[in-house]
Amino acid sequence: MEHTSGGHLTRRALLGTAVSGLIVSGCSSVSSGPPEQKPVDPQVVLLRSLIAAKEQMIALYQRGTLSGDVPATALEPFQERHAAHLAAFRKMLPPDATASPSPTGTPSPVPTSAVSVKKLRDAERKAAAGRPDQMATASPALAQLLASVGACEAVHVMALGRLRG
Amino acid sequence: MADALAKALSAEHAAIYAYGVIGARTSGRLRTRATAGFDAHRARRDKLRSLITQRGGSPAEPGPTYQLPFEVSSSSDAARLAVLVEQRLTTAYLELAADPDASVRRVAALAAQECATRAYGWQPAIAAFPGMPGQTASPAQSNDASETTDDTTDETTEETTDAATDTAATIDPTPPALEPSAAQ
Repeated sequence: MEHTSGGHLTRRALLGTAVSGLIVSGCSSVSSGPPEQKPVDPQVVLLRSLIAAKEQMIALYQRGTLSGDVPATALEPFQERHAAHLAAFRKMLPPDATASPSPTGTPSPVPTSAVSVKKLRDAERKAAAGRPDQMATASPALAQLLASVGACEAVHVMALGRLRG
Repeated sequence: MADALAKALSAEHAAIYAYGVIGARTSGRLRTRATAGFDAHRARRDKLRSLITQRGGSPAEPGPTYQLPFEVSSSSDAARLAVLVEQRLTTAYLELAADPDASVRRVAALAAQECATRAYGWQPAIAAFPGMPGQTASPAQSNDASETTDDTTDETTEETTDAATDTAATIDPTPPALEPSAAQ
């Protein structure tokens, strides 16, 4: 809906007024309800959720902590691969679609405290396990991408198990 | 997608043959790993046969023998062959992942994950997009040498993470790792 404030009318609000005028004058071909929204492509909805989840995974890694004699940089390659996945998902979005998740989406809160390697492993395992279900409704190209991303995440589970954090 | 099923089956036939060679050239922990891989690929082969039959097709039989891409005369060669086999199979399953049937996609996704993790077991290197054409894996960092592959950590190259970002088209897989050396 278009709002006006302070007595200032926007062009769209004016256009809406003009359309209402047509309705009042008897033009039955124009709907009197709220402006119809273009249905959202299910692939775009899926991609937005994939992008949001990847962003959360990267946020987890940014708070990942290691202990013992493991170099602090050991998690960087993992994060870089997730960033590559994120870029691939974003690239599949149509040009006219934004990457913002649906307003109805309820992303999990990203912890603000340190994240253990065990928690990273659990997140990777959950992500990999969810790929087959996501692939069920994906386009063929996205399904292939998801299969590859899931394979990478499954390998991450193994590789993180070799780190001590 | 029947073609993708046939290609995956062909790759599994070749993998089973290769794992026979791998098992013969390894011992100890590597032999155990080879045996597990052999059994896993037999199970996947049987699943693919079943899927092809369910669709009214006739699953192809394996070739009598296969030409290996290089001579396998040591455990290091065997591990290198195992990695190659698993990588090519991952690609074959990625192609199958585009199948219209969601249940087949699930099979493909899980098989791709299995192949990628088995490849990592043989050689601890990670690619951002396993199975995608043009991917190479970067060595994984580990602080526990006892868990890494015994003798296969010297073959990795730099990772390229941008090869899979052009995903508008579906994947055309690379040829199978091994070709039958005689007519089937």
